[in-house]
Amino acid sequence: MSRGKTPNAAETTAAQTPSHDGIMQSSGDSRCPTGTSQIIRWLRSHWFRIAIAAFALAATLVEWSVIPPIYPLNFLFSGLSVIAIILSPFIPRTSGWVIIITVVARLFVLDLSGPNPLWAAYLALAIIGYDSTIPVAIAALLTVAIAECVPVALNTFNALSATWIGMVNYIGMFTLATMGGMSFRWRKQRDEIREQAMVLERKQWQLDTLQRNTRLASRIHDSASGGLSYIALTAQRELRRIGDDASQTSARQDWQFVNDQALSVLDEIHHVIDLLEQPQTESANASAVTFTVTSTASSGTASTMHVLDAAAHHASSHSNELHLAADQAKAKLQHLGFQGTLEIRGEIADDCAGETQQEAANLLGEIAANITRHMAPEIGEYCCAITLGGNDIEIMETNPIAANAGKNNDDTDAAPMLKPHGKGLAMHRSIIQQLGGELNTTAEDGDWILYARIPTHPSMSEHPQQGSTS
Amino acid sequence: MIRIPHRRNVITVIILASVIAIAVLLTALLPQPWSDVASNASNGSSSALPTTSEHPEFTGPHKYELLNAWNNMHTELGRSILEDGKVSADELAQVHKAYNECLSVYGLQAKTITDSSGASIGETIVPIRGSMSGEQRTSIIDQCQTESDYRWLTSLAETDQGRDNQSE
Repeated sequence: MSRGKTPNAAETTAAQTPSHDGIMQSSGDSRCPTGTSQIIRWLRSHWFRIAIAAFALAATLVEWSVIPPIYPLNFLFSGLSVIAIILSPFIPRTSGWVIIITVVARLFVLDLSGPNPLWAAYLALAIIGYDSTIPVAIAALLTVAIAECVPVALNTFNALSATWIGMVNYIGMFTLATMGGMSFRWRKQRDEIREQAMVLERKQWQLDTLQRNTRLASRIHDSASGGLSYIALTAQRELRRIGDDASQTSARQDWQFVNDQALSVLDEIHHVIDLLEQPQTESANASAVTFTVTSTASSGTASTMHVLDAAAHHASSHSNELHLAADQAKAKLQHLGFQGTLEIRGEIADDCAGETQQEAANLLGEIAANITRHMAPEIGEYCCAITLGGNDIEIMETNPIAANAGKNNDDTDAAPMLKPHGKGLAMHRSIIQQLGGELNTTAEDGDWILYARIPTHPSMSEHPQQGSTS
Repeated sequence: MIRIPHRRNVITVIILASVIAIAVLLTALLPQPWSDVASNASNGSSSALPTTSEHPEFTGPHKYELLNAWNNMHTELGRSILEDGKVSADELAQVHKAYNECLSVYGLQAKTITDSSGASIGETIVPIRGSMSGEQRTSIIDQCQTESDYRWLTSLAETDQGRDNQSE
């Protein structure tokens, strides 16, 4: 009897217990709920069964109270029918067949008193149509229809109709009840197939993402990690060679700087590799995964991506992050010989979102990196002001643009300009727009101007692209 | 592992079916009131209670009517009502209930017709279920009236009511 039955969503999660009755089998746990939550879950998943059983029960009991059964046999069969209606949400198929048996049996008891058996018959046919295979449902339909035709053929007074034409209506009603149950099952099966397809698609996407991330992690590790390790080792060797020689203080500072930056970026890369190799979780899917770019002003070539969970609102852990990022950017620029001002005005709001502060700090790093790429120390000074407000964090930065910015000047004596990646500000713009803010850049009269506004309470909505590209 | 619960369920179903079958057999042996109404209606027979020399001493102008009714009573309920020579409204309601029970076996119900003030002005028979022809229905109604003693007692109740109205 269970062949061809597709368990519904609630039943799928329940433990599968082999049983005679299909529904008992699939909802074995739900029959004996141990807690309120299980009862509520069972009620939610079976509310329609309960509703139609309650309707049939109410109609039957009302008729019983108005016209009680007179014959004892009629009383017995009517009572069994009522019990089966009550049990139908729990053991639907067994109850359905018990109802059909009582309906047929009442035809052989020449007593029309008592509740109308048709309510229970419609319920039973709908239940069997829903829970059983098509042949079984058709068998139930034929059983009821043929049984109801017997009194018509025998011309007894308990026939549903005195004529065969009248029986067509009743048989139509029986067929509709059965088809109703079957159509509900087909709809449920369709929904389940769609849901399963979505789950499969999601798993496939996760698998593809994980494979891609693994390839990315491997490539980053093979290329960047090796080179950075070599840079760090070289710097450390030079530091050992220089030793405490007072005449080479400047060189020692430079090598120390190179070593620190290389180790810092190496840590970041290892962190990114760890993140890439983590399987995608449901929470990560649900929340917006943002990619932020941090740049190291000293190397200028390494941009690392941090995968951040946008749902992480840890304002306390980020409270000093902006000031720290500003200090680091200022120190790096100063070390590389860039002159200018970088100041923070105002106080950050207590309820400022963590991702806002994180993004502002990351943007400062990118701004510092861009200054090293697009500006020469001898052509002027940069100016960067961060204004902390109650609703927004505003960052305004200007700097003169070097004439050979972005070009590889291999034929000059000057230090070669760093090749820009070209995606840094674009990714920041995308992130800021997702947070509900804006990032605009422009170049006027040889000056680079950047303006960013990041709301302290991100809306996390998609916004159209604004402003010019970097 | 799978067969054990299946076998247990089969045994449960067999036991339940056996219990129901025994209950059906035992219940079938119980009396089925009004079951012979249809056959009696078809052949015109009627099984009144046996007439004996023991009957209440009816007095008054309607004593012969009461005696005639007593001899035509079909139920012990009717004779117990008639014992005091009067048919009260409550007693008539009891008989009406029995009459309705007889009708309900055949898918019919007696419905009281009331006027605008709510007073009863008669009754009609409503078919609830079944497929009786008009002729069958009429004969069943007559037979139920006879076998439930409603026919005699309702006429006596009307007589009593008229007598009460005259005395007032």
